[in-house]
Amino acid sequence: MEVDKGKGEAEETRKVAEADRDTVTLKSSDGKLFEVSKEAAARLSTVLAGMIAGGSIDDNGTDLKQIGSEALENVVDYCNKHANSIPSAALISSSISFNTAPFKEPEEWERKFVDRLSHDALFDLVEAANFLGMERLLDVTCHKISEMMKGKSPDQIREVFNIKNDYTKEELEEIRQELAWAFYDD
Amino acid sequence: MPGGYRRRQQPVPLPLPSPTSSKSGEHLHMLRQQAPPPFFDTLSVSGNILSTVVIAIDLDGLGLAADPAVTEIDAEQGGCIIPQVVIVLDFQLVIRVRRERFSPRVASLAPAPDGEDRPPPRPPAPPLDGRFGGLAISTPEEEDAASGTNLHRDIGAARSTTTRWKMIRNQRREGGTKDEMNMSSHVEGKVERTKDGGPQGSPAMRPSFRGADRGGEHGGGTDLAVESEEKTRSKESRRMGIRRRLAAGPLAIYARTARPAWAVGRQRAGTGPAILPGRARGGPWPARWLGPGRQGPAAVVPCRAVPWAGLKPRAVGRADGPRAAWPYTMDFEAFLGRRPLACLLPPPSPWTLSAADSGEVVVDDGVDRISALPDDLCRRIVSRLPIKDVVRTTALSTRWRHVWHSTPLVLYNSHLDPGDPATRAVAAVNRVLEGHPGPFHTVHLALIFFDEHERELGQWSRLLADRGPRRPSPETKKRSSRLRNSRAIPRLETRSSPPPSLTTLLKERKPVHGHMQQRPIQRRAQTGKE
Repeated sequence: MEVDKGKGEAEETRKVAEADRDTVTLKSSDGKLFEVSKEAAARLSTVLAGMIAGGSIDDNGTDLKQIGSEALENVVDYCNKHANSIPSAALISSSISFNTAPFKEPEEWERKFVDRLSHDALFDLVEAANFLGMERLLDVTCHKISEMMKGKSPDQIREVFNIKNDYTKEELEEIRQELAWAFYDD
Repeated sequence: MPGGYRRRQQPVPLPLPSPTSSKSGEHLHMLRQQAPPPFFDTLSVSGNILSTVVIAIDLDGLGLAADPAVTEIDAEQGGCIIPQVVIVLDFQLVIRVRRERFSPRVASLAPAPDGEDRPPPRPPAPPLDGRFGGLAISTPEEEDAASGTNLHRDIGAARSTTTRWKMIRNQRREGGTKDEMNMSSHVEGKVERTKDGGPQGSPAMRPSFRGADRGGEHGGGTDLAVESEEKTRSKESRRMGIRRRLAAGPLAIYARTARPAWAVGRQRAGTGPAILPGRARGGPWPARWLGPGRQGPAAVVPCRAVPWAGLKPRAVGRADGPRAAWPYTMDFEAFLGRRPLACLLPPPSPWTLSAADSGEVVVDDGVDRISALPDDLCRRIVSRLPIKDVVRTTALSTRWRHVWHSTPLVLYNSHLDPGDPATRAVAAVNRVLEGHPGPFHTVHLALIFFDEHERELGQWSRLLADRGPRRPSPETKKRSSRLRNSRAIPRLETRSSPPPSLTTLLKERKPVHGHMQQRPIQRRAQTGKE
């Protein structure tokens, strides 16, 4: 009984929330639903902001077919946790053409947020952020990826990212000679 | 002292005397605490200041100073032409040369956007904390308040640079604060000489260095303008395209004189690099370089905060029409030092380079996630890497071969091996600049002794001018305005055609560097194979 009651309450609050229209329901490619506050979504994602402004938000779950549930969960997690501490996406996009929005180094929580992700999840998240136009999240994730590349030799980078070396030996040697100065310490 | 100076290869980290000694010291301390070296040492120009070339030379290795001015660039300005060459010198002071291509005809044609009477937007008083690049000690407003004048405000309100110069000059004639008087005694003698038609520029620069030195010692900054006219045109200047461009119109050199308190303290304690008389020999080079053949008036304005800081640029008319955008003010400060390296991204689409075919790049297998990312993202990742790492990515696979080349160049020579002999580093810079087809997003050269490498410098300046940031094509502009009007367009869909090169702009006739325009990576990769 209590459980049911709890469910009912939850549903009620959800309905109220929907009536107030302060959350957005997002649907992942595998049909899972996630809720994120409208404000956070609009602030962080230019695409969602546009959809909200354009009224193309579906109350029963806006379909985001390109995003898997795990990635979407991360996105929603990111939005929920930290919406308030982040400059709005609208603001960033307004100055986007001049690239003036100061990029801050990822904050501690953002580092932790991306650090705990698996390799695949990280790339899923990058793709999701790119799809949703989430500048800040893209910054943070790309920063993480570039950190992973930093200070490594090409072989090490290939290993980390499973990049297949499709150069011929001659080509590779040519490049190495061309850019010898960048390689002389490995 | 010079020896000690030379040995210092890396500008950071510096032991600061006391983080609380001054506002800026505190700020700097904070910056150094929380950031890797390049964070503070930043100078950038957005790829969208379309035809701006910036050469930043961090002579003292202390990092480039920057103003904490708030920047808000009006997106509408995107279509404007901003023809200018900015040269930034950092010699414990930062000298900014702002070059504006002056076109009286266009200026007189151009209608004011909102009626002549309306002053440009008032810059908000920028707080000193919590921002990037906190070396500035005072804001224009503060300086005005301190000196009891309205110089900065009036300069800011002035419509044209010419008017501003006049105001600055008048201000100086009327006599300024004590600091200013101190400074002018230094500068004037030299400058009068230049007016007599001596070799231009270099004498005008030298006093600004000295003045800055002095100004820094008593912890003050000054505002002062020196105007000099140059009417001779030398053969040398005709040889160099960039010189010609520079010679054509008025030139304003903004010299930052305020030295951060911590640097003063370090110098007194004998621990930090001083402003070295020896280095001063190398100091006048940019003026030498800009100087001969100059026709327009020049102003050297030592100041703690550049007068236009915080002003919003104004667009007048249409960039592509006959009524080119002019005049307007521009906040360089935004581009000169407020941005950490990590954010030196290629500007997001639609301003980024063409990435039309990016998605279809062959993926080796399902596991190689990074190569499967769109080019935009690859560039974003790559642009955050120090130059050496970026260059190494070209050896990863054929897919990565041209990612770097299609990413606007971000070069900090301090990222090259610090143990490297200077000549080797210069050679590496040379290779990078020559090997990268442009556009150059940021080129930051620190601790290179240009008196020893003057030839390279000339070469680089030409490369920088040619491959500097570009101007978007009309098509891009259309797209961008559409994008601005409707935020619903997902970023994935916004692709742009490459903007024409700087040279197109400056020479106005033939787009010499059409061949440098960006092509889709895949195509480049194929041509690379041939």
